[in-house]
Amino acid sequence: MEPDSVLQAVSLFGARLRGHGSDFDTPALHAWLAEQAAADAGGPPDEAGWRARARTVDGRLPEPARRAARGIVRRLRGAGS
Amino acid sequence: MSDVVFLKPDFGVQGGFELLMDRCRAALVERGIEVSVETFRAHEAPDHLAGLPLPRSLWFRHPEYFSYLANVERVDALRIDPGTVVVTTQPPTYLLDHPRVVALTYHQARVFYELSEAYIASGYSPSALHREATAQVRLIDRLRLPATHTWLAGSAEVARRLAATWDVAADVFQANAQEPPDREVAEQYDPAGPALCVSRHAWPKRTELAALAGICDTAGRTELVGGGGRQPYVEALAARFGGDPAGAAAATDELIWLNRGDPAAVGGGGTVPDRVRVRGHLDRADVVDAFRRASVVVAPAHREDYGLTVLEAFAFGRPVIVCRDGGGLVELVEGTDAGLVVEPRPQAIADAVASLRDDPERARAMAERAFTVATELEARDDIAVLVDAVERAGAGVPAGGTVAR
Repeated sequence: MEPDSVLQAVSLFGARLRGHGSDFDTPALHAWLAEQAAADAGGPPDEAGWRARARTVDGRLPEPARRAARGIVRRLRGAGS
Repeated sequence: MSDVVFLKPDFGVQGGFELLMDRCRAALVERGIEVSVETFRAHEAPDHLAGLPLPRSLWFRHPEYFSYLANVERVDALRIDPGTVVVTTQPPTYLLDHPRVVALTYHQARVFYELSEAYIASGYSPSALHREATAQVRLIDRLRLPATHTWLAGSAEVARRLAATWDVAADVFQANAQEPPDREVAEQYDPAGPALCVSRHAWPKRTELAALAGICDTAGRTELVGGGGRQPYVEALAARFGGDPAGAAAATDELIWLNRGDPAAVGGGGTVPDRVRVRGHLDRADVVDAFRRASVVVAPAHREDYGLTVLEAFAFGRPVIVCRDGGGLVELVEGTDAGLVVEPRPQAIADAVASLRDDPERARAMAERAFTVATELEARDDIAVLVDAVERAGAGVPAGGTVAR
């Protein structure tokens, strides 16, 4: 996943939620989002970096993070026994 | 139709805020006000956002950001009778556009506001990505903030944040969210007892500071009570500096808490000395026993919204040590003569703990004062502010006007 596309997507979704236009509201970025979504449907998402965060940050974690954290705990328990 | 609707995102967890909300609801019901709860599932990643596909892999690049945006859309989709008073609760319910909103606010989306830079410094998100996300969330909030009838801030700290970021004038609604004062425990005070830290091990609760303070305080004992994902990190840190109090005193913020809590990153071996006990999660009865033994409670969190830890310590008649950057914790301690405010450094906390142990009369006086403060807080009609706001919003009287009774 290209960093520039991620940053542009962050900006684009924000602009749409504000009801504003965005320089990134382009067919190219739309196509990239559709392509990523299709790729995700074919396999597990990239959770790298998010796992550690899920374990350690205070507050309310989105469900995917909690699921990931629970999965890690289950795996660790399985490995340790 | 209910008189009042509490709008509460369902994050799939039950914590302090949920208990507080239950208490507010019960108090309104006692006053003859009919109350219901409107909720929405706030913890799921949608397939689409703002009319575009939202790839799961993109979501994982910044879950807090995309989760916030998804919940803004969910709040947008709500249709609540305009004749009902709505008490909004957690982010982003305060963005609800409705003519009778009482925005009960304990915090904004914190990692995009006062914790934004610490979040980056801790390595939880790449700098450019989080700065862009922060800018977007702040723009969304500013542009969408509705003409809310009344803002109620859970503490003066939160009221200051609302004023500084949104030019909002909020009344302070300081609820009694702690257990009632426990005279039996309060009367069993021993100034020679261990220092106690009761907190989840989570960022930015900064329990690492309490553990390292225990290392620095070579003549004292320290207990840490609470579970949480950073507990292995706290233990690794305490072990690394177990035989090196000078090293604990000199540890950088980056090593102590501005990090992602990976115990493997601590380095070094070592063992946790007996005088520092990291006990993990305990049943309530054991927590109460820990308070019973404690001479002082250390509450080292960074920029707390409120200060439940302080209120709990006071309810058990225990003085409290908080850090200068503790936010709502400081607010509850300052001016009470029941606690000390120190720099957020292990040695500063250790010195404060030792100063009370070495002056038992002073420690006893502070402990008695703590219990008195708890008793005084308990005696307040803390819910009156909320009831008044709800009545004004229901009657269409501007905040601060007169309500016919």
